[in-house]
Amino acid sequence: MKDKTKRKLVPWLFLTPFLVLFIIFMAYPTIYSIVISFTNFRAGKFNFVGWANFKFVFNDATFLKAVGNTFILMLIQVPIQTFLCVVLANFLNIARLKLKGMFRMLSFTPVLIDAVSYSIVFSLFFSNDPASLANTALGLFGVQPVEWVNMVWPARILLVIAVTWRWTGYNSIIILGGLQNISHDLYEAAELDGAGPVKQFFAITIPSIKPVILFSVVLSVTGTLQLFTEPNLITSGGPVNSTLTIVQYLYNTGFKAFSYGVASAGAYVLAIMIAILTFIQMRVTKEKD
Amino acid sequence: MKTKTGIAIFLSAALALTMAGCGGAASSSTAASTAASAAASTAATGGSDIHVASWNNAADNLSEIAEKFNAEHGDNGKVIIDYVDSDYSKLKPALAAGSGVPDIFQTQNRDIPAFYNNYGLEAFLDISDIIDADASNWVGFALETCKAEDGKYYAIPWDIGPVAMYYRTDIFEANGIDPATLTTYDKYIEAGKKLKAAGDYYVEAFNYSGSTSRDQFMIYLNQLGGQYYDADGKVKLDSDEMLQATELVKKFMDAGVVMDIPNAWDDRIAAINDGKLVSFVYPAWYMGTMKNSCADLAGKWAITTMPAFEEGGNTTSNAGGSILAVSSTTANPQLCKDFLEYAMKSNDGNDVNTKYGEFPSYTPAYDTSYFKEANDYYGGLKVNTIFAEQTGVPATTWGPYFVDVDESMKTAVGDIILNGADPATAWAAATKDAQGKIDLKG
Repeated sequence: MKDKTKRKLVPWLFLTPFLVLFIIFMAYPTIYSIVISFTNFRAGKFNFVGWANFKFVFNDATFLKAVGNTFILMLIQVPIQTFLCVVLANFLNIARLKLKGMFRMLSFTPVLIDAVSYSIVFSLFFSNDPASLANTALGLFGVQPVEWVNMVWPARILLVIAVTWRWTGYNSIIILGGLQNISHDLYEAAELDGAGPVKQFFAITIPSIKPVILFSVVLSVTGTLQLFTEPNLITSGGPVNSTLTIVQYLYNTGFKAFSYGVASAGAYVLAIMIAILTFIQMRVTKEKD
Repeated sequence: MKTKTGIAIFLSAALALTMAGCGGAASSSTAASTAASAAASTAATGGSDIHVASWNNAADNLSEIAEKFNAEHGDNGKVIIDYVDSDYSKLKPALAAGSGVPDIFQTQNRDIPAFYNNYGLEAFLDISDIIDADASNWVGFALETCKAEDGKYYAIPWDIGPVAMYYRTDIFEANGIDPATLTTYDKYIEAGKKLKAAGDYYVEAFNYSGSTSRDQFMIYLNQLGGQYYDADGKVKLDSDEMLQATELVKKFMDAGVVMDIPNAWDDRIAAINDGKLVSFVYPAWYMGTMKNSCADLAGKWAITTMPAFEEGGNTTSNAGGSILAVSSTTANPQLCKDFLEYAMKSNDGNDVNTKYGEFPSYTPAYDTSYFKEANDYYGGLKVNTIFAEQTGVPATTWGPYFVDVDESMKTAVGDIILNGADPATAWAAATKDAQGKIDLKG
């Protein structure tokens, strides 16, 4: 009896450090924010307000705009990045490639750079100033200087460029892992059957790495839905909220405007959206398997 | 079953321990982040030390005052200045939790009503006694903002932002422009055109997208005597005054005499240092920034009265300023009050405030010899005296949640300037948006 108790207790003991931190910093805030999402905060007290915060969020033009912006960024950024990832991963997988290790390391480096630092560098490269790096480069091709953070689409494109720069290498390494799992025999057999490199790529490579690509897409979708640092530092959500993301809205509402209730309600709307999207993506993956 | 209870007890004990650990860590890290205390070294300390949360230049300013104060009054605990960020990101959670609140903390004057509303007056210490003693000595609108609904003061006014026109004397002179003749904005804009024709010079800098600054709207609105609310206390941004202010902003832009500062604070400094921004209408607290961040241009700048909307019109306005509030959780209320009296009401304290460009709101300070001294950065002008004449503006009602009004203003400003939206429509939309957010807070 005592032995059995011990055996049951020991795993828990090992888990305790994690569980304690998890309960305090994850579970408790997550559950408590459900409570907060049904309250407003006034004179130091939370007062129950029913569904008012959720109603407000669904009718708030700024929130709806933030949702729209986030999806626009996602729909542009994720396909471009995934395409680039597949190309880069295949390049890194070339058998004859020299300095393989260096190229792999270089493509992974952007993720290691702090998000704040790279955002500041990007905002300097792409400033409105006609003499900024991006405008000078465009000038070489005869393009007029662009007011990057004052115009809707340049601002959005700027964010897409920044996020893509940071995450393409990371996702390429994931896809590279998939590529290296493909048995070489398949290519040899295909070559004997007379399939060219293009045919091989579409008939062998792509189907084999589909699950890995989908995994990378799921990661990127979740990542873009939670985008905050880049729009906050590079565009400040501007011009006129056209690059305001959902998380930025939550931050502004909760920590600038004191509306903890609205921010919590919005956070749950976001969580549900991510859950639905992830569910759909998982279904897609399963069917293909 | 027994095991489960055991686990539960164990976990809750661990949780309690960790929590206690957090508390201990938090207080010791505040102690570690102190700045000014080290210099003062009075041996006997009767009461507990107090922490004052402030930011940037203002915190440097308070550190110098605290150093003097500690040296003179070190027998009832010491004053320690903590450097925090100006977004209150550490302060707000502490106030919401009701623990770990600094004894004294700085806020922008327009934000203090929101703090009163959010955290309740019981979160603050009544310091009416140090204000009521000579209430008439304070600049009226500054004091008004600190007064709570119950007529008591839970915060003390610190600096204010009387507005004047900053200009480059050398460039104005070289182009034959006499600043004394720029009595109206129309004349100011004409001078701007002349300067623009002579070189890459601008006489104003606005943040076109509205996301990093709306200062010009606040300055003009206050100059026109406008408010953000109607008589019933409802948000009203589409007032006649706001529309008139917007018209002026558009006039500046149409004339091509204003430059865009996307990242308002940094870009304004850069534009001044680049010699592009040669004049602008701005508050007194910018003097400290210019002295530090544009040091190479010392002696080339001067200050004069701002232009009016029409000949003979009002030439005073106020933008910004800050206050210091006291937490009711302080262990040493007497020391808090003594320090605030010293920092805000004594000549020694106000000399330091003046030195750092934090323009005092306590008017006896305007009679000190230090205040009246000539300022070499501004070509030997007695700049403080010029600004002191600009403090008679009517009080602005900031309402219970100005931050919501300000957020809605951001969108309207960008819509009007960048997207060419109709001002009346854009301000009406902002009005509705802001009121909706305020209503939700009950």
